[in-house]
Amino acid sequence: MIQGSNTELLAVDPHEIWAAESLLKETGLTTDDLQFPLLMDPTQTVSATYGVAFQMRIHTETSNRPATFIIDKAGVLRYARRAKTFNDRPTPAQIVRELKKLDGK
Amino acid sequence: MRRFSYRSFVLLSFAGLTFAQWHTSAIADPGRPVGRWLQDVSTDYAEDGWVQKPKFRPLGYMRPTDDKGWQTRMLALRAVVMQGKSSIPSLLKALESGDVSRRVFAAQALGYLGADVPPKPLLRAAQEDKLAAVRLYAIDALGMRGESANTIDWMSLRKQERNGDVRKHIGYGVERKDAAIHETVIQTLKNWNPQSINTAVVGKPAPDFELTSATKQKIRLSSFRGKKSVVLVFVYGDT
Repeated sequence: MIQGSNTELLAVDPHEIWAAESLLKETGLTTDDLQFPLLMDPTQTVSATYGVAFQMRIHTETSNRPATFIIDKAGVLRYARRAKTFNDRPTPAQIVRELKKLDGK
Repeated sequence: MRRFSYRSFVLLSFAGLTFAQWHTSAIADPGRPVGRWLQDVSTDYAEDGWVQKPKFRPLGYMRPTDDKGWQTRMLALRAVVMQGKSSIPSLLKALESGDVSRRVFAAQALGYLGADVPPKPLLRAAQEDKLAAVRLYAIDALGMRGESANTIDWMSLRKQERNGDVRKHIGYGVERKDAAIHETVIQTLKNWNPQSINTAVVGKPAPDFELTSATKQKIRLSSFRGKKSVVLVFVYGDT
């Protein structure tokens, strides 16, 4: 719904590749089943740059705070939502609304 | 009431300024001793600083939204990895500290120092530490050394471990066989510019980055410039 000719969806995950493969395997999937690029950030450098590294303790691991950012075609950051709880995230409808704002529609 | 808020405002601004100054000078000093970083992690990123909504127990402990300790933690991790082998003795000492935030940090940082870390203290932490997070990172660090497939008795570790998350990481240790932490992972941390910490601001150009995807594609954010808008989502594995 979000991914299309005008928008790219990128996910960032704080694990090494093989740990992600292992998590996917538990759900019966492989990395080829992913509908969008899953970017591996095991040292949380990109998380730190975006202000979310080391802010959630989940499954006994110290992880990034979940967050959603929208960057327009010009490369400018237009929307940022850093989660207050682990499952606090914008709905797909909210994201679509934010994307429409970018085009001034 | 008014006077109180004014005073808190002054105090908070002062605290903010002090942090900013510390922050800049600490980043600029590549030889800052590991012990100083451990002290900062212990103060700024204390284990009792985690908060959670009871509704979400046992998942999702968060740092408060105004917490700055994570920056200390990130800069400390980079600093000890930059210093390499020479930081190992201080980290091993920290692994036996009575202070849990030092132990968690040391266990995680030792992983990024790979095969140079002696396995025995890691194994002891993996078996004996009271805090699951320390055991989990000690387990990871054993796997990240790379030569643990034959030398570590993963099965008896698993049998002894009661925490499900830690047991899962013991499974990772078995799965990764002889694969040490990849040099590119360490290089990414070393090449990361610490001045870029927390620089994503709405209305400003989004900080650029390049990461490798799960299908081993290299993806650079700026490659979409002029072509597509980007929805960038930070997730955690199964959330």
